Amino acid sequence: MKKLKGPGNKNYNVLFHTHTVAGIVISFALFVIFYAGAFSLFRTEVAQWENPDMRQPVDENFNFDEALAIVDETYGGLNYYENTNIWFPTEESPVLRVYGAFNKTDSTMERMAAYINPATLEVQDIQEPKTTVSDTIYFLHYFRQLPIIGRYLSGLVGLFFLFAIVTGVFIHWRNLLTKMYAFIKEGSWKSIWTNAHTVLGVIGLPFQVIYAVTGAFFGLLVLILVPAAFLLYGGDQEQLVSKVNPAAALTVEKEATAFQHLSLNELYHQVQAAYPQHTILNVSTRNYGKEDALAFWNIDDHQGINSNGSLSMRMKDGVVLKEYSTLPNDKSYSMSVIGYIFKLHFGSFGGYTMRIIYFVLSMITCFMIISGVLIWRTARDNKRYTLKQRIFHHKVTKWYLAICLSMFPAFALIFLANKAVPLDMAGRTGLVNQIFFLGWLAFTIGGLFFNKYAAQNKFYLTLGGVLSFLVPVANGLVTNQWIWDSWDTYHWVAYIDLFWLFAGFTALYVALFELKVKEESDYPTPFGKGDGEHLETDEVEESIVAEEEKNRAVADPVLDPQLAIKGLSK
Amino acid sequence: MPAKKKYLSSGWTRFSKVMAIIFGAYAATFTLHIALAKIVPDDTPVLLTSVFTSFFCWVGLMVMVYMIRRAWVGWSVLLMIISVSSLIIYVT
Repeated sequence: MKKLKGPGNKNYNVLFHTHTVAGIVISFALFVIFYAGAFSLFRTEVAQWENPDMRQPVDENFNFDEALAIVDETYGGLNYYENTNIWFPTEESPVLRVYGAFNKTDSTMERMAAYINPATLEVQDIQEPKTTVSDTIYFLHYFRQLPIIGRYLSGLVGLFFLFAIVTGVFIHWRNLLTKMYAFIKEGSWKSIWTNAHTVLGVIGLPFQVIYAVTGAFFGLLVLILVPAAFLLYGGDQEQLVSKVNPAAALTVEKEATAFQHLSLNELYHQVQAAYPQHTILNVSTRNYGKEDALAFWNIDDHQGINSNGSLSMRMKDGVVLKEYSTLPNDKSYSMSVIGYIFKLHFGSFGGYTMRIIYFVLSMITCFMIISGVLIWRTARDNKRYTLKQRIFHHKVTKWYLAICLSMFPAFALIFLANKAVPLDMAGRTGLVNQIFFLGWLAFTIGGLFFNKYAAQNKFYLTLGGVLSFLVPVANGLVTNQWIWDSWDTYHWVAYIDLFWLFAGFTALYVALFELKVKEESDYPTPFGKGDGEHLETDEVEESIVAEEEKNRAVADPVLDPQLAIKGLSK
Repeated sequence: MPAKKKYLSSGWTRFSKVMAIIFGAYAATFTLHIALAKIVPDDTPVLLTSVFTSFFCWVGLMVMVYMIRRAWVGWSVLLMIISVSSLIIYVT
């Protein structure tokens, strides 16, 4: 295969350096984002696993208007002039969720969020939830636990991730074709990590670019779109909003008279009949119960990239106002473009298959981040560096591995804490969060006692494996819904239990049978005479280059065609 | 193999470049997109597309700053983009 012409020597080295520095700086934050993000793809499904309210069949005869009236009563009268958003029950989340506003006093208004349980008609405040596994993981995904700066920090990590991707492609360009299939386990550790890093990087490239750009958008929106809109439209930003969302042009009167318009159930069935392939996600209402009441129905089939839409109507007649709606697959460019970001980021297209692919690719990206750190370390474990420098590299690597790898047992722990802490206990969500974060800290500290990376890895795999096995057991014991019970009723509860069983089995198998911990420690020791003086003489350089050439000869499929065939057949 | 030291900048040049890729490249990206939106007949699509292109542009300028050996040359390219774009924004 032909080698591509890469950047020149100078640019190659400069870009290599920026890639390394940017990569090392963002690495563990990026790992946390990808690991938490992978689980957040199944947020609603995890919520069903964690919260007993979500485990009930969808009530087909549930009266939405009556339920809304109960929520209204609970909050002492909702302010329906403000946007009131109602999310409909689904198989994974069979409750009715209401996001609205209520008048706290005569002059102050506050936003509210609650769901109502169709079976018991109990109203539960979402801002003070009963359970918090999926929320904690989702908030961790964009560092919401860090006040104010968290979101921007995650956006900046996204931006520098894109930078690392672009510089990475530049550096790898020469070998892009020749090492396309370098699935090789032979050679020195440095070439194993390098091959893994580059091959998986190329496979995951489109996905990673998507995530870097859309992730940076969510974090840095305030830097990109907001000032631009202000500069272009001055104070009149509604001009922009109406082009993106034509429904914004529809208004209601504050002093409208009370009116008995069509019921939510009636309109729901009408919309469902018009779009039988689509799921009705939610309806956003204004002036509910008044003469000029408006309803905006958001629908999505979770298949196409542009197949979601919003239908606007007056609730008194239920006629869809086409010019104020964004119809599925029939939108202008301006109406679609922001929607693409959401679809691409949350994987809400291509059905469950796409989200599973997203999950796997996220995990591959996690592996890439780890392998990148290990390349950084092994490439510096030679005579070019003083012993002090090498010990520093070792310690950084050890910390990074401890923080990242301990997320596996820590995530199993939060699932366990969800079942171990009794549901009716006061302040239970705070306790669950404490167990998770302190557990993660304890696991991280535990990993720092290892000076062999393989032993450290084995520790986390064993610990995580055991905890993973306990997750479905805890679910079975506490909720009395074992995998064989939930298999026919709540599929996703069973799938999540099975996922943890699979994760536990794989982790323990690898830890006990596959992972070989070598005798010698990874803690740097002197190379002998002359070490520690930071040598950069030609002699040292030559000996290192010669050694690297030798290693490469073993692992380079271009130089060794037999190895290439072996690599392919694996 | 780590990058060869002889090609890398140090001290103030390095600091200047880091400032250039964060603030300079951002300002250049921002003004460039606004100027583009001002020139074309319908600014909304340009503005909305900028949510994708801004990040590519920003990162592209970062790479450019590092490919130029001298920090001040990189800065002048960025400042040129900023001033030309600003001029267009001001005039139109």
